[in-house]
Amino acid sequence: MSFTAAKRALLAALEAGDIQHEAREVLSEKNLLAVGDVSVEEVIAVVRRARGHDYSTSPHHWNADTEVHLLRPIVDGTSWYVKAYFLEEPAGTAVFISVHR
Amino acid sequence: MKIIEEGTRGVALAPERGKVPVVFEYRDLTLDSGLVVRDVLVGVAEDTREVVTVPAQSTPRIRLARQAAKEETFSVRIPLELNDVLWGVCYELGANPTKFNSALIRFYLHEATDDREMARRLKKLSTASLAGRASKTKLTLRSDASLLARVKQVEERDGVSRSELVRGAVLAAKEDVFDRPRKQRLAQLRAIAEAV
Repeated sequence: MSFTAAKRALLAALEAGDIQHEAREVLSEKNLLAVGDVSVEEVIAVVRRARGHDYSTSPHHWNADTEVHLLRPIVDGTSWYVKAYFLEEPAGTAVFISVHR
Repeated sequence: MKIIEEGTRGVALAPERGKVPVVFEYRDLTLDSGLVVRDVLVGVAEDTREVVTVPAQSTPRIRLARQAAKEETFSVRIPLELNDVLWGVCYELGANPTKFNSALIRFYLHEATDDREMARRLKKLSTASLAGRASKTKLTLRSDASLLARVKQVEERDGVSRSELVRGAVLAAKEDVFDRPRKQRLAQLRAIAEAV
């Protein structure tokens, strides 16, 4: 999936509220979106500000067929880290692994 | 917001196993700080029963549970006469006494952290004879950690204890409601009384 396609799909999922958060029996509080420390609107703004050089991708280590999308834009001097994947490519429910500053 | 109903089935990634079938159920969810949030909708792996995903609709509940966990209670000993003042203020404003006392004291403490004049007023009132009587009853109050941290700064800045600030707050309420009522302050206190 290209950066543009990943960004578009992430924004679509966020705007539709079609998002989940990865858990490993416990939920990580480093996922600030999951625990409500940052809002969906804030993450939408962060994703919108991301550019191609802020983006990287890698296979999920639990399932090599799942592509993990990592965005690390700097917004108003703050570095963001947004890591998510889609349960069904090329779009659908976005599952966030981590959202933090 | 997409709302998932209990019993809905789907898929999610599980540690070391990749995609697995899940069913959404209301369960107690543990956060990595150890906090347990009751009755949260989560996606559970059908075979191992482990929690592997949390839908967006559970976030407000998790957020509120974390905020509540940050709230602290603190207790101060006060004279019985000051307790009567609190009951009197509560009665006068038609408030629910179980929640109003904390809200009233929090209001004055918050004012003292924002306004040095209020901090000085509470300190001065804490030396009044009514506040100096034997403290025979315990007042337990709820507050959030951030307010208590700011109160701590007032304590250090103005050389006053938290107990003194609370005793001063009770007497400030007495002045503002009974002795020298001012329209604006009374309106604030009435708004608090109605809100709790």
